[in-house]
Amino acid sequence: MQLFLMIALIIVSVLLVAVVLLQPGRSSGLSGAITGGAEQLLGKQKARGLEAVLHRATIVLAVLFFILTGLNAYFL
Amino acid sequence: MFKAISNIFRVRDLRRKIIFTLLMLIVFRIGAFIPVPGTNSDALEMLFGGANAFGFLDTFGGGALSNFSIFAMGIMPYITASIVVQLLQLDVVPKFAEWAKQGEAGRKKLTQVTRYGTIVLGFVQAIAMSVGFNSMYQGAGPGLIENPSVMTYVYIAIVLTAGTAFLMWLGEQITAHGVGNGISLIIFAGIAAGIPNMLNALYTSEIEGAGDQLFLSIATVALLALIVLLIIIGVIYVHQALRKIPVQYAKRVVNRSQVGGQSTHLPIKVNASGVIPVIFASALFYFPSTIASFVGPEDKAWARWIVEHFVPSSWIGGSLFVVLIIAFTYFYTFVQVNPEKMADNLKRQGGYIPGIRPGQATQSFITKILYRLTFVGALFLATIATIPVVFIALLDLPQQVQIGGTGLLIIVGVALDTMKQIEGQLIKRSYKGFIN
Repeated sequence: MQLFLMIALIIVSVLLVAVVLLQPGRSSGLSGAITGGAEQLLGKQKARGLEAVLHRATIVLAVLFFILTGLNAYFL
Repeated sequence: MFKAISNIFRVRDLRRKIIFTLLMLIVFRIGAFIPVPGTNSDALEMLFGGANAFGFLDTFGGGALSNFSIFAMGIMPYITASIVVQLLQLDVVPKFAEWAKQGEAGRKKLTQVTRYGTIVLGFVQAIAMSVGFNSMYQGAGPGLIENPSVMTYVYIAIVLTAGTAFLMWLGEQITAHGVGNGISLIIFAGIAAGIPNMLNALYTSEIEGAGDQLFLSIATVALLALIVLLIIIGVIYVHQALRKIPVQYAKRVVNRSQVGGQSTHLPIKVNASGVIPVIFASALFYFPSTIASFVGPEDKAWARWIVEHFVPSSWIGGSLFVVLIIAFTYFYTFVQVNPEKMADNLKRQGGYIPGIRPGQATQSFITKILYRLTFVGALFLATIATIPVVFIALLDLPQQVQIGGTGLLIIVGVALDTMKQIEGQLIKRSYKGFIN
């Protein structure tokens, strides 16, 4: 059980990193509070097609990541 | 003020954005309490709360590092990657410099490089952190990692990297669907989360343990509150401060109609570099003491000397810290505000500063003004960063009490930026905002 949870968490973690990187970065970096520069406002468009699939996948993987980490911490 | 707040919740779209932002920040706070499997976070407790690199990093994560949670690294790898990519645009990597000039398309490429850099830096940092923290406890009771092995270190590093990747994504979602800048708000939430702990430590040390000197303790707390208020006012004042350089545009005839001829101004912020110089200076300043801590100050005299003197409360450490902040403020200001590019843009648009010739003379004039403004900005940053150290020493306060410093600079800065965004949304819908 312990080994299964460990492997599952590693797989979910790697997938989470991959899915996050596959999505185009929407962030405008660090705002003026941190870097002092002026912040640019981005178009807040809704995700479409593959982007929407990746977006949903990130949510599912994030939930699994939280649950598996909690279970791993409990069993380990 | 209260009318403006009620107006925010009257606008359905804005209300949805604020609720979304708050929910995302709650997710971040929940994650800060989920420990990394196979670790013993109790082993870390003695490290935090002091004026060291660990305490500094823990400030940004709101206790995520001291809990050794899945968000232990917080968003720090992203900040580092952003700064590195920004610095590499200064003709260090020609490709990056080229992308920087390409506008939106180039910015997207640079954002993607930053994201990949975050993961690489995060993974390296996670392994270094796990190995480093664990080595500090060899022979001193149970270590941080219960079964240390190469596989365990890689496993922990993967989990921590996934945590950082998720935080980066969370920040992007806040930027896209919420209010304010997501990454900044995550840092803001981390710092703000440490405030109740700080107040609790202050209450325990000053009020509960006061005994006969209760009046004196209350006076100390009142003085502290006044200092914090003055710091906040000072930070707001300097954050908003601008030097407006007048600019005149030459009249031109385009398609038989006259354009230009109007006068405007070039705004230059007093603190153009934000809080980055303090973060840079802190990282560099705490680096030797962090290495010395990992080596073991008990055995080696040089390591003990570094640990004792490379703290802001010592004269050597304090002076070095101030010098580093001033040096980095100058360096980063000229990264953010490029006088050569400014002068070139003005010349191309047919603009000039009255009494100053376009081109080289304009560049020299802007540089001179920037040097003067940066001196004020650098002194301000150095003062704000050293205030906590001075008052903790003077009033004999517990180490958890952090007044001023980087945290307050970020909190006030992010709050102002977010408020301006909400203000813009309110004015767009013809409501009165906070400022007007």
